[in-house]
Amino acid sequence: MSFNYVVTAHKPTAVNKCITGNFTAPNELNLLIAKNTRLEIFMVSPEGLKPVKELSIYGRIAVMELFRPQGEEKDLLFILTERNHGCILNYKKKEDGCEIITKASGDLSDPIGRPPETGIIGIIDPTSKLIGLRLYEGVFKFLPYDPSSEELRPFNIRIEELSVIDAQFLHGYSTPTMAIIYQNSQGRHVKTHIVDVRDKEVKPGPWKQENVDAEANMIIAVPEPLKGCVIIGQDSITYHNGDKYIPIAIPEVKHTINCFAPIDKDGSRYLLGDLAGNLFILLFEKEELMNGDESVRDLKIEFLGEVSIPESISYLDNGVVYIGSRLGDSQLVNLHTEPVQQHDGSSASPTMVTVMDTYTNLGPIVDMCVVDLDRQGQGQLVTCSGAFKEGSLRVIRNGIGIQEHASIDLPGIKGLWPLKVSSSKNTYDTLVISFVGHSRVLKLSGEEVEETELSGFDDEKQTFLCTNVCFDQLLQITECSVRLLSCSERKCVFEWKPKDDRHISVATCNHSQILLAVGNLLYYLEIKLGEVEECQHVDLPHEVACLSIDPLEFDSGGKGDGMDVESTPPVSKICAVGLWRDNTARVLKIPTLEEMYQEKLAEEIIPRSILLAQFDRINYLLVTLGDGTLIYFTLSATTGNLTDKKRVPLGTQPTSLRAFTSGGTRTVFACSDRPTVIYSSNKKLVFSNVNLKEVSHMCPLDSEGYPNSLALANGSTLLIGTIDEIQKLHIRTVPLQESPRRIAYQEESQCFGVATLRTDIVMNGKPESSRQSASLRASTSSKSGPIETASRSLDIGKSLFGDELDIGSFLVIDQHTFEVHHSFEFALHEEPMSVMSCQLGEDNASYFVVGTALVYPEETEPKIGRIFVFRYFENKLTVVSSKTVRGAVYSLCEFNGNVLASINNTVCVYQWTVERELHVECSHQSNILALYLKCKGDFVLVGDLMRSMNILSYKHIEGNLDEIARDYNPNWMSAVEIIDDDNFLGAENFYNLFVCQKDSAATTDEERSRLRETCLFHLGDFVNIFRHGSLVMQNVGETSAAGQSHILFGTVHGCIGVVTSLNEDLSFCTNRKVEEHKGFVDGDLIENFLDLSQDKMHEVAKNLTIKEDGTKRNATAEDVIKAVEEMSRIH
Amino acid sequence: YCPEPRFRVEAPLNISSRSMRRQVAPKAGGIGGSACDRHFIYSRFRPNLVFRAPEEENVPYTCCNFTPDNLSVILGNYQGDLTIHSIQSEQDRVLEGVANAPIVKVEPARDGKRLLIVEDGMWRRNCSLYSMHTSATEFTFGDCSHVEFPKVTQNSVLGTKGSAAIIYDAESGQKIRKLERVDLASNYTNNQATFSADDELILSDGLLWDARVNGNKPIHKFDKFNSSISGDFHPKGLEVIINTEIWDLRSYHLLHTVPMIDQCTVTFNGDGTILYATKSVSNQDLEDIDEDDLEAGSTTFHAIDAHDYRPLSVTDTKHKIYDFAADRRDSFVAVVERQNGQWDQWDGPSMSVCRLYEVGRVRGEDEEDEQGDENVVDDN
Repeated sequence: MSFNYVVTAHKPTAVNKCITGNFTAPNELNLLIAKNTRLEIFMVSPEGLKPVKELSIYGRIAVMELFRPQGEEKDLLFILTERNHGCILNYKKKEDGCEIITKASGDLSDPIGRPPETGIIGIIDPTSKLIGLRLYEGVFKFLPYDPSSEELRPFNIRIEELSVIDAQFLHGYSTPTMAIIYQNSQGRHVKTHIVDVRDKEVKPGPWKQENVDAEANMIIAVPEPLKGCVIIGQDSITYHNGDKYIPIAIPEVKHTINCFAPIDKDGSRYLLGDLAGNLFILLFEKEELMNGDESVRDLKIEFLGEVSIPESISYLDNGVVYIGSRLGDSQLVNLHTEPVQQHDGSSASPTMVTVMDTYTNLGPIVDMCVVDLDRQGQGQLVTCSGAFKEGSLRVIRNGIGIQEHASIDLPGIKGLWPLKVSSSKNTYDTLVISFVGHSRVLKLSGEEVEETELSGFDDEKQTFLCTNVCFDQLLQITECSVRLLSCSERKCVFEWKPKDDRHISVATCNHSQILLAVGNLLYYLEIKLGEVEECQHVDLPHEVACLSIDPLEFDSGGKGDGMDVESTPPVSKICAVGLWRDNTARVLKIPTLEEMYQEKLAEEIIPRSILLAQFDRINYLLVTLGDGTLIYFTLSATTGNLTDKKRVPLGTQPTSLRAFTSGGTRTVFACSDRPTVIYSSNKKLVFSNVNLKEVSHMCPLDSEGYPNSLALANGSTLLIGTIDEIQKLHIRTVPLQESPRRIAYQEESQCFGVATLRTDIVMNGKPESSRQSASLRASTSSKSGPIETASRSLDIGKSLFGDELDIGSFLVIDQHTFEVHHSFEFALHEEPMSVMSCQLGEDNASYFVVGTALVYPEETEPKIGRIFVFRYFENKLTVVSSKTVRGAVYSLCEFNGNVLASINNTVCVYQWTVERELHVECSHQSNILALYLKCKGDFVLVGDLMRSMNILSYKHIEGNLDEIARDYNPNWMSAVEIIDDDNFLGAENFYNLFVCQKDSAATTDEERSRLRETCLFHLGDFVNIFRHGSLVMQNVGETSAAGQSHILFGTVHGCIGVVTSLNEDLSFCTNRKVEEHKGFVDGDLIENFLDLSQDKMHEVAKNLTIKEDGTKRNATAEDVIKAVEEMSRIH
Repeated sequence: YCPEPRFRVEAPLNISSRSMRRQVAPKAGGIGGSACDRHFIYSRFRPNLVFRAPEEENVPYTCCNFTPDNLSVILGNYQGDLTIHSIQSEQDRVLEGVANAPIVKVEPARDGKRLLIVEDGMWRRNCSLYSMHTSATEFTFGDCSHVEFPKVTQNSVLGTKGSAAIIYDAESGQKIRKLERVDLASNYTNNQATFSADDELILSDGLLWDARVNGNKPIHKFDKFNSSISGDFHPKGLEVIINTEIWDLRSYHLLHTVPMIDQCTVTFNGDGTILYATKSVSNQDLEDIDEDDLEAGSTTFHAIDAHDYRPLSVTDTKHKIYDFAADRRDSFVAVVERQNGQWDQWDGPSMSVCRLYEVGRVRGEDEEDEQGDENVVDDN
């Protein structure tokens, strides 16, 4: 039995809901954000949002509300998942962090009942005594809050209104009173209900209002003293409290208002957000009544500005608002009372809203492709993300990128060091470069780099080390001597030479200590003012290969190595050496150099670089071997003991390690043929590839001209660049400002072909765009001719003023600059549905093929579509051929030099003729809608709207497509992919993944023609696209899981995941499997293992067995760690 | 044709727009999206396989049902034989002499090992439980005119005898309980007692009973609007459908009236989202059916949205329908159709075939007028 390992490479980022309250402490303001199955808790502070805790909820969060029952000093959290599991959570501070406690929980689903189309509604009564839920049509479930109960005990009350649009509990009533918007055949109405908890029934409420706005969709309960409620519709906003009915028209709003946030506790101002990303403020004009009470006199709505299309908004404090977006990046914005200029310096007119911060969201990932843009052997993912004005391409790269700022041809560099010579600032101004037999000094003035002289510096020898040390001195170590230079006096003040003028073989130092080796003689020296004092030397059994005296306690406030001379530099109490011949790493005590611990590293391969480092307050010893392997240990600073040995293959060549600081965190740069950055995340070492082919030497460089940069050398060049923020996935955004639908990459033209849709509004008889979106900012553009067979004339004459019109385009986008080279506009009502890049027939040319559909909103299915064949060559896009077909071209595949297309219910093979036209060769109809196609060899995998998957085989001789196997289950597909010749991966409408297997060896036709569902997995997210590929470097010589083929998937919530097959040897993972699932292993769960404490790890490993060379034995925690770490490296 | 105006937040009518919209919007492409999908799928039925009685015997089929694995169709014929046809292959299995009279209903248990058979004898109907394992009748429920299994646990059998509902033990065939109130009887001519989706309620002769409570007190009596059909539960559990009347099961209010399904047999699809209505003749006396008798049965089956009782489609089979069945995977419906023009070949009722219709598929351009003759699977 094979297993499929599913793991998240990028967590969901689309925001479903955000709320504020005092969850962590009575005086702390929290922002809680729900992102599909994840809950993030932040603290709102003057410095911004501080993450408190991130939780994974088993289920999609449908309702999330804070409430404060009587007697509680802070808020409790009620969460309900889409599968109707409810829980009440409480926050508890602990000494080492915090804990979320489940106060009560339960399954709130009913055996029968009809889930409503308008979704789950969850509301809490203002007194926090009663939770109201609408889970099924015609029924409200009420959950009285019981502080003593651990179980949720709800009761159902039937209400007459079946189609409830929204509901809220009203303020100011002694018994819970609920206002609902409901729909019946006459329209939409508002009604109030009184909930009698004791008798478990609802009674007619104090008021009702029939025939409100025809598209009334939201109700806001207004707190005391004003009370009543606000009904938000499409054309009007109405205040209603039973006595008063104050409607106002919404002149400026053309889009549905879909979220709100109260600003004040007394409920006199509200923020409203609409589906076009407009932010409004709703104000009450109050009047005082005779009895002194306040009441609403009038409503006012004002436009504030444009933000990301909101899904949920929260007013935090001081004019700061969190905009949670599902379709674009979420934002933190600042509201102003007077219009101000945008921070980004754009020419846009002054606005009341300025963006303070944005939070990247990949969702919804509609399509994606895997491309090796840098040709470094590492795939990058380019996604079609977002929709409408938030539409964008996102370039996602695993690992860390270096942005090149300058490069100098300098072959043969053997070492690099930055120096601070004359600058009084805390930046470097000089770079020392060593070559075989000589050294050079470069001066950095601004962005200029020029060769200079450094008095006292020995430039006729190869430098081993050069750095600023204590007492404002410089240290240069060459193979002959240790030279101390005074910065102020600008001369060499002291020189130390080994006995008998022997040559120094390796050397290292920190601010005040030097460790160097002459053959197998190890010296320890200390730096004083004006002299270097030899303190100790020992004879080691073998020659020293590498050594480290880096202080473990690193002062993260310092700028870099040897920079912070003012503060007392930490002094090392231990050092580490790696030896030739016996290949050991030894930890020695300073200053005595007596051995504390030794560990044999490998049999044959000698250590080449050794480093003492501390990450997250854990001490590590890192050693690299001559074959590019990194071995690391945790180190006890007092005993020198090395434990938890772990081995990671980094590259294939000798690797040298260099510690540096990036963004305030300690990191290690491993220079090799696979340069890697090593850092710590959650007390775990993380290895991130750098997007450079080879780095032989590096040093941090923070100069005036190149702030926070690195200097990197390979065989021929010196490069100065900045490093990305240290994180695993790096994301670049290319805004399109219109909905991207499909993307294809073409290597020949070095371009992406992107199909998009923008929405124009008809003004004065022609469509006009409100923004300069991608299809309108192309260098060149062209338009398609009309469709000859279209049943009606395609003009917009019938469109009314203000009507929305969707305009489809095909864009050619440069792979480097992401500029739009060309925009091709399709006919009116013609929408692009599919795109591919391929080579056809005998042609060597690359073509972009685009499938379209003529979409009339009143038809149930398109009857006409087209297949365009484009060629982008010498900066020109030409239509080589276009073919009208009978339906929407949902999917396209290159199929043995032909075009394979799915058109409505038909799968067709089109031949590319010599005349460069598409000619139908054969077709197959066995679907309701053939939405997705994938092919491999002569096999075609078809994903149907509701008929799961089927497999077609192409017969060359007959020129036929025949169905050979089918899954007979009614699965509503959302994406399909071929794993191998017999296994097929599908994703469906209910957020599951499954694998179907073709049984070619079965004895009967019936069995052969049936796909067996072998694996099932509830992912909890809607998968839009599968692509073969990997985000990690395909390392040579690397074994196990990380080398196999992976399938990446992208979801509506912006999650990127990896599916990979596991071999048998890893099948011990199965005893942590979640029930009901079969054949899939939850990688996120498995990888949680690495976050467990040591005892817990042993506990988990206790009952596991592992297969080694065909025999089973009990697994140790180390075995499990090794296996899980291997898996975690696939993303 | 004038489409109803759609609100902005609602799903677009065009399936292409919906399939694109659901990639960014919540499920099904917006509010009402799944209703649009149902409308799209259940307005298309494509004739597929035809199961025909062997030439030499010419015994017409009288009823049909799907096996629990949905891979085969069970057909009952006029002589009391059963044929189990595989849908994916040409294999079949014939069980002869299961009954002595035309089989008008066959219902397999979920384990596939037992079948409930209703035969229409000369003088009265006869019901029995047939074991596939022993190929023999295990029990007969002699006096009953209708039997069915409960919906959840299938360890009992619910039989109908006049206005009474009788619960039998499925293991022993013993009578467990009889639910009848002569004083309250509606006396529907074609009373068929039935369990609700959760087996907690029983509907029989216009009376609603609590299946879990012993005693002779029904919970409710529904008003009688027709004389023959006693009604069914909606599988989602909130409604009762008695002929054209849709009753709210909690308030007993009349929710809808659907005139289209008058005198129809009601069948649901796999997930209870679609209601099929056929004016089949299986409950009529087969002997009485005459070519000119237009009242009994019709040639069409309706697909109705079981959510709001909106009609989705009417499919004309061009033949009188004897029986109708829907599989639980929403792939096929099976229709036993009476064939025209073969009237003289049999001295009983006319010949019939069982035709499968594929759900959601349109007829191809080239197969418009061929009544699927090349798809025929013969029994020889």
